[in-house]
Amino acid sequence: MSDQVLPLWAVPLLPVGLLALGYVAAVLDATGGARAAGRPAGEALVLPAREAVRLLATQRVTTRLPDALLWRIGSAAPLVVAVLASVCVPLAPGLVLADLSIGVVWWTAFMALLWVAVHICGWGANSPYPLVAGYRFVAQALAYEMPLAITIVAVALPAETLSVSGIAAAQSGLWYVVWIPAGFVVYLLCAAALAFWGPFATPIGADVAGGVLAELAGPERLLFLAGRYAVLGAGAWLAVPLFLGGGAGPLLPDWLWTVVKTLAVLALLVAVRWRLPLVRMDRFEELAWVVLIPVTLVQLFVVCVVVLLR
Amino acid sequence: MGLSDRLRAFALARPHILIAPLPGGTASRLAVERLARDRGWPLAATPRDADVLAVCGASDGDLGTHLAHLLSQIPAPVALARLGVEGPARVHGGAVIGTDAAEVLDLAAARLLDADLQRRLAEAGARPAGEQADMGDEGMVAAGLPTAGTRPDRDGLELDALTVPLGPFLVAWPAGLTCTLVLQGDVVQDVAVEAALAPGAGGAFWDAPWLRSLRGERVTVAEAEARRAAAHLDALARLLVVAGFDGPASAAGRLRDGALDGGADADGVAALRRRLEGSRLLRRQTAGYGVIDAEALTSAGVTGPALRATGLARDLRSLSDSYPGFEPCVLEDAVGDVRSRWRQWLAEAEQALRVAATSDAVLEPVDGQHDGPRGRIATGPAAHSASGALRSLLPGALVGEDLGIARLVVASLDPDGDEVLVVEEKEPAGHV
Repeated sequence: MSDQVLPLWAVPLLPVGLLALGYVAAVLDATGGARAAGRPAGEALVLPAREAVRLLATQRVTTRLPDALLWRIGSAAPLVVAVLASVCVPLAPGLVLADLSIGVVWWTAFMALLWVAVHICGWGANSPYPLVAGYRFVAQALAYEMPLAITIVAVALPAETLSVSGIAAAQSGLWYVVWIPAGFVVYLLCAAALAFWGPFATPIGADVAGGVLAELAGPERLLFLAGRYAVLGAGAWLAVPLFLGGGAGPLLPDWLWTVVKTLAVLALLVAVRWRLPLVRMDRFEELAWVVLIPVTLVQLFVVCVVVLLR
Repeated sequence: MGLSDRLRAFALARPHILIAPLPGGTASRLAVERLARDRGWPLAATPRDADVLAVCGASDGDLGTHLAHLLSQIPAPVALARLGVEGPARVHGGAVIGTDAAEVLDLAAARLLDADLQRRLAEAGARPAGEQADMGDEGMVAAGLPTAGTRPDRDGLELDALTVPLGPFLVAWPAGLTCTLVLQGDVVQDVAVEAALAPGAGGAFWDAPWLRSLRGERVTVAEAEARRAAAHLDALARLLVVAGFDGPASAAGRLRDGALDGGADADGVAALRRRLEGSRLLRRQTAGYGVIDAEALTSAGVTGPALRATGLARDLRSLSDSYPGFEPCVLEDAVGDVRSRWRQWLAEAEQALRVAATSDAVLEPVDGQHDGPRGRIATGPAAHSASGALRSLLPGALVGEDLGIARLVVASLDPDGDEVLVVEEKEPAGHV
């Protein structure tokens, strides 16, 4: 564990910052929607705030015989998971809430809680559409978890540390995105799949009437949607120290470079949603196990060879 | 205005609209969708996310059990709008009724902002606050609802079987259709199809030019082909929403409204076609599912694009004098799956718009029949419903598929609720 002691007032900055990142993701998404419908994109700036106030002012309703405890936990969990996972991700060298020596493992472990969260959010509602959608998320998670784990290993190996700050610092020569490109692409796919975003949005698909969102109303819906955007933002944020050299860059201070790079990755992830249709789970499982895992293994092998030759 | 009024006005400036289309209500549904897209009012996928329930094609009588149940699922604040009733927009019996979509929805949105009204409605409405399971039960009945029973599945195991009705109101679902599925997990084991809903005002919208021609009116080929293109683009937009491809779904909606307005934007359709045909993910998502071969289609009496999507080049327009030099559209890889059918719609929409731009002929029937957007259109003793034939295919096509694929297959066949209605009304009283 690290020696640094952050002042107590710095702790709430993480959830606030992650919510702000989620807000930006929602604005980018709304811009994409406005452009697709041929409308001016200016209104997208206040749209998330408008939706938030609307959901807060909506009546809370429930279904018959829900598993209320699991349902409520499931709807709040994505936001909590995103915040907890991101405690080890740095904004700049030294500006990190907890510079854990097992950083990337911590992050992956907390994001794995999303399996449970989305599944019980679907199961707890006692309704067929969320139930089917919850299982769709588990099937999807089975597909992306292995490629993600192998990619994490491929990134931690040349840095010789599991700490996220350490991996960022080890890229002072050449950013990992340059010589671990397959890893970067796989990581982006997994970041989108974690937030069931874009092509991986079958758990909230229109073919199951909104899936996990079908029975959520009012404040619970807001919590779940905010959590989803926060998970997407957290995935984009981690890409920066893992692949894009952390805060490295000319002219601007480190923390500002991190913000700029995070927003660039976030814009890329959001744009993918409007460019691609859904990927059905039966076809994606096949793709993940037959294509993605061998690709990540080959990438890992290449990384090992490079490290040994260094 | 106090702070809470201001916040409420801010929050509900873009109310979410849940469209509940009734058979005969296509014109109002199209008007509401166009208005929602132009103003940026999102269309809700579920009643839990809705503010305004827009019933399209309503009469001003009783709401009916399905719609009343749907309305009860929408959390407060909620406003009910019933479009298709003659006259200016006005409040009647707790709902806003009228014909002009903009007026009716504006009035409904104003009712959303009325805090006292919403409080009274919320207190008067009976919403279940949550019920507990009866602990003394054997488990067969909970809160008055039967629990899922078991039945053997395809491997001979006893698995829970859940009865799930798809429709009559569901996002991107054909109007007036109810498919009651028996699901084990998410695999469909049994399907019961009904087309039961009280008809609304207004006849068959998509078939109108051809029906008018059969009644003896003078209808131009250009008008008929523009309506055909709009029908195909409408069905395509619904399928793209089910396939989760929101960008092109909006584009298809815009092209449909353009075709209905009279502008024949064949190049826009060609651009959409290039984009969709080039999408490998869309290809993988739709190819190989819902294959119905030509034999099954012809024995069910299906004609139109669904039949041409199996590779059979049968189109009455090639026999008609109003379409000189017309070649039926048959694509390569046309195997009768979901992908072949949506590609057929796109190809025929583009072809129809190109014909509409260049033709100045008058529509003439061939042996008293026309080839409409979903199949043959005829009146009198030869009348049969093309959509009825498509509906009869559903049980065979859905059993054994999972829920998502079942939705795609229904979206690719897209039986029209209006068409079924008009033909059933025309049956003489002596027929069963």
